[in-house]
Amino acid sequence: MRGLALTVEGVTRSYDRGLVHALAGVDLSIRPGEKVALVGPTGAGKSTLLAILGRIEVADGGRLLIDGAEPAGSAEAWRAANVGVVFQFHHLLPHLTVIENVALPLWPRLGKAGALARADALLEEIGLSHRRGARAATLSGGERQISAVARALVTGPRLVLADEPTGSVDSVAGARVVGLLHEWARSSGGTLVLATHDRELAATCARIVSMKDGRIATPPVEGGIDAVSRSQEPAAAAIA
Amino acid sequence: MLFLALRNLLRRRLRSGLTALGVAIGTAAFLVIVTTVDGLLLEAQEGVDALGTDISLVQAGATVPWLSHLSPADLDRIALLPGVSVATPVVVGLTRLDARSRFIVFGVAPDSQLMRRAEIVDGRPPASGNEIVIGAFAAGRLGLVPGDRVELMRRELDVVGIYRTGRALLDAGAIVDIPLAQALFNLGDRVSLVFLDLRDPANAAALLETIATEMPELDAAASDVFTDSIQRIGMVRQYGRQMAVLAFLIAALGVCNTLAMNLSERTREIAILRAIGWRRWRIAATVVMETLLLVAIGVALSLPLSELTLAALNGQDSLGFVPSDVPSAALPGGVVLAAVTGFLLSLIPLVHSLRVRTAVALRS
Repeated sequence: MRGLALTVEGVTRSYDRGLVHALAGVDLSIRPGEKVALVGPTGAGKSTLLAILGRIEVADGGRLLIDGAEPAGSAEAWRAANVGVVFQFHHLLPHLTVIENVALPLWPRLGKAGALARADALLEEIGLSHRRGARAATLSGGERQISAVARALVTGPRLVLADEPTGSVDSVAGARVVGLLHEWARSSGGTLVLATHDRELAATCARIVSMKDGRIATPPVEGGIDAVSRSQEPAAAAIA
Repeated sequence: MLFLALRNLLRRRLRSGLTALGVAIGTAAFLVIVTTVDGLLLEAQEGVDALGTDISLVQAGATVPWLSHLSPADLDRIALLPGVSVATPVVVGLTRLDARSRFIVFGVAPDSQLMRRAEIVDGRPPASGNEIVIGAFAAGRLGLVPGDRVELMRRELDVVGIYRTGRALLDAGAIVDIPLAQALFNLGDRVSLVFLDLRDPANAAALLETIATEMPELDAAASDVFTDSIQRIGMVRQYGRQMAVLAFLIAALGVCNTLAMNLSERTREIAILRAIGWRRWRIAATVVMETLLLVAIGVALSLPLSELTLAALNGQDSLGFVPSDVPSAALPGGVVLAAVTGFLLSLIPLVHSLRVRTAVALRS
């Protein structure tokens, strides 16, 4: 499997009838299999750019290219086939169990039994199978976010978009989350784009894109996995 | 989808239960009102049929038989109608025997054909004077037996017999001689209606036309449509239906409100499903299925609820009009109404789920 190539050209997005400019002309190109961190203060436009890259949100202006072509067809169907999404606050469905939450993206395609089987295998792989039957509402914050990562990965995506994936968990759980994402990227060759305030988390990515006031603030910084091992010991351990 | 719809319903058991109960109450209200009104009309119709008459005559414009007054002159003219073998005058009065019960008193000549059609199951038929025979239903409810005395319109009457016709309308009342009935209800020498037996029942239509032309002060009807003339059956039925639908809609509005609240709380959930790749129609189908499941559960609950309500009403019914159970003929109407309402109610979650803006909902 090959990661997706993403390009945005002059992308703009505003809210509140044009009063708030979330993105004010962003150009960015992401190579297949690249790991990119979007960093910047609150309101910089990271989450909006992430949402546009995942076709969760539509840009007001500019264009998005996926593997060199403008996207067509249903955004949901495209996401179901290609994209895993991790939110800051896990966004699990609290009345469903862990395994049901993880299986959700596959449910429409494989049906209940097939989706649960795949989810079960993934939970086994990431060491969360002992919690498979627990309702999401009863999980710890870390378990919830790890479950959310599993939900993003269960479809075997070509692109994972993670919005502040460690923003609501402790450092140990955060390291586990980061470890899972990097392990997925390494083993699958998928493209990983994450938005974060956390410079240490950003440093785990091959490229850091700094944003401010809806624009790319500086030329992209080439990081490197070496930085990961230096700054994210727990994450490295988790990957191992 | 069914699994997820069920899980969503079970997550808020109390709310789901109350919502289904709202549907159940609305449907049951519809079924009970329709059943009661139809039962009343059916019993009235069959009660008349049980008399075995061909044509009934009442005062033109009288909506109920106890408001119809026919004079001796009317009776004389009726007796001259062609093809009539027997003309039986009847007095009908509505009164009560105790605080909560009301029943119909029929004034019939003791030697009339009508009186002979009522089977005396205990005692004997009434003779002239202050004698009364009680219908089996009323006697059972009031605990009356021959030899008892009852006070009717401030007059002491001797119960001399119990009769049974098999029709609740008649068996819930009492029969006295015509002069006594006229005295009880201050009718003077007037009666309420006249039943005609024809030599040849096939001539009923021709006779009806004659009466309509020559005696416009009378309303005549073949006995099979008699209730149309005595109770304005269509109007009563229509009114009953309207009340039933209104009761249902009131319950449906409550359900609608609950569903709308439910959905506004689930906007983010819908957005999450969209974000992880669920298509709009699938999400819409899931939430619609939830609504339809609630409606189905409500309809299923409405049947025992209707039966319980009818049983309770039946216990208080002094006229014997209320059927003890929902007739199968009433069920399709209730189910169709619930299904249509369920479909309309499901449009709310359908539209809502289609309109959720994923990015906005996830940010909120």
